[in-house]
Amino acid sequence: MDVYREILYRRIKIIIIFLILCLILALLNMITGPMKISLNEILINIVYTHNKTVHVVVWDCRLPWTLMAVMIGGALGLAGLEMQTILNNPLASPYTLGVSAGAGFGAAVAYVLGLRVLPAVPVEFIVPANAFFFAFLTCMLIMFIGRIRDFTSETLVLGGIAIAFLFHSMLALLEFFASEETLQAIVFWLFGSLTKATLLKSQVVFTVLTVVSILLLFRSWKITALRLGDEKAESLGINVKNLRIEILFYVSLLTSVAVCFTGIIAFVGLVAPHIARILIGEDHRFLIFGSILCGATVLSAGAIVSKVIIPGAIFPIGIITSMIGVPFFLFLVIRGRKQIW
Amino acid sequence: MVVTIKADGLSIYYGNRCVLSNVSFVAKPGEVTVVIGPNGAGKTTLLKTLAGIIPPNSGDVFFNNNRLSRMRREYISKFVSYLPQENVVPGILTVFEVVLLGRVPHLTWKLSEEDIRITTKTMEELGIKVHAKKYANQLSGGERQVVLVAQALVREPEVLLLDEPVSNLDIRNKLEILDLIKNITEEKKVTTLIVLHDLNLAAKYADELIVLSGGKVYAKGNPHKVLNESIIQSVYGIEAEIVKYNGGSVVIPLRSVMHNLQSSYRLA
Repeated sequence: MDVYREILYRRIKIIIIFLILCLILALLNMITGPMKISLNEILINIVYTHNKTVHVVVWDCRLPWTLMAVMIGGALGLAGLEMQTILNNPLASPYTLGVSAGAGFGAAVAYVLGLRVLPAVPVEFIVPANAFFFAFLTCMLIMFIGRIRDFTSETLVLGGIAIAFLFHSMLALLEFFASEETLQAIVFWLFGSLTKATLLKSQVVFTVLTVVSILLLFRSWKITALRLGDEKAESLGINVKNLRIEILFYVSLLTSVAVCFTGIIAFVGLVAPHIARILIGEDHRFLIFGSILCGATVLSAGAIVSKVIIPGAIFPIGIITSMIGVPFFLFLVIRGRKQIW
Repeated sequence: MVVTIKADGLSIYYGNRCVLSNVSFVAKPGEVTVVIGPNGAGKTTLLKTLAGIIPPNSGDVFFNNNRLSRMRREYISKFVSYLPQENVVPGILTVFEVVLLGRVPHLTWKLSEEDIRITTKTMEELGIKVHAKKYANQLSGGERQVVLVAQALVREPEVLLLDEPVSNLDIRNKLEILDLIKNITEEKKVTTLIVLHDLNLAAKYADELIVLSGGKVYAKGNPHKVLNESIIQSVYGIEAEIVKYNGGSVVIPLRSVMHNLQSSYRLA
């Protein structure tokens, strides 16, 4: 009884620490930027228009960017966690399995060919809609390949890697034919950036993230049991194949939404789940929250650094996250005595 | 509920290779049925079939009078507990969690007091409560095996299928774990099937012995009748002496009569 309580309290404690850290970084993210605004003034202008310029900056930039960093970080963290778990592979993430490459190709299709794959999409949403379509298509392709060999994790992982190469080369092909300005637009999209964030976009990500999290939380014990191996899970009465298909579908949706608005932000989806797992353990009832918060924290930290590294300019966040994340991650991997997978 | 298992003409093919051929036997509640046989005889496949993981190509298994082939896996898992041979616990899971996961069909988001109580009790009975907070992958191979046995027992199954549950343990732990399994089998009228390699442990703990060879049931029955020199020679290809000791049988292996490895070694 008390043993379980102890394990439980330790987990809750870590989740709370993450939550506080995430909040602090989100607030810091709000107050950093080319224009010096105090936290007080920002909070006042969220509620009503105290100063017209500040109000515009807060509502058009600071607030959507901050929320987007939290939402996208959380979505990538959760997507990476579930990919790693159901594919039983520590290297699985939206980036390594080619979902990001698919999104990048979709964006390039919009920039280079001006093609609108989803009909009736407003002009400003053509790029994200294309990116979403191709990211989701990538996931479906991976599932299709997996289906041939009964959804074993090796088939899905190798299929994903093959698809990643395919989309990378098709992307390169489009880049080769693109004009100079278009090429620049593609490259900037691929860098990954939060500056295109709007409140509407962060609301979309928030909604998908919330729905998927709830669906996953209902299955948290089954997902945790998957870590014991397919055969063991089967003998515990879990239909491993169906569970894998179901979760892969949720994750496809989540990943596609996460990558389509911001471009390619590598690393967060791979590493946030590992950091959370090292600190929390496999129990998905907590690890789901842990990965979301850890992803949100890492991306918020990245967003802050991207704004302060060159005063007055905003560096693409995709470049920053790896730079600040790698040392921290390596520290955890090398220093820790316990196994991390 | 007590469950009598009746295997009726089970045959399993992996591609063209016949792994089990027309296997029939009855395992009764409250008895330990031990399956022995050389490597590749089909012991693991038999247990997986009984656990509902591998569907038989022909024949069927009856739990009381219900056909296994007509049961859903979730239903089977409610009363059958299967411990695979592999002794790895991947992932960062505490011993408490590994044992608890044995009850996955029952678990809800907020753990019930019942689940926590049974998990703690099982850990106590197997002497691993001291490890509860440690990560399972930090334990020694033997300790981990005990944890996995606990995981199989925590579900309070009516049918217990154990594939070499003591292979990594020292002699004292072997005896303790098998004693515990035997007691639980008798007290709770569990139907227990254990795959063992050690013929002496098989003789000591089996109420009923099944000898598998080349996918067929070579012999079955009371261990003291089944375990004799000629069966051991034809199934394992070794000469052995059986000594009756204290009402039981002790198998003393003497020499191989096949010399498979030696002759190929000389040729090389």
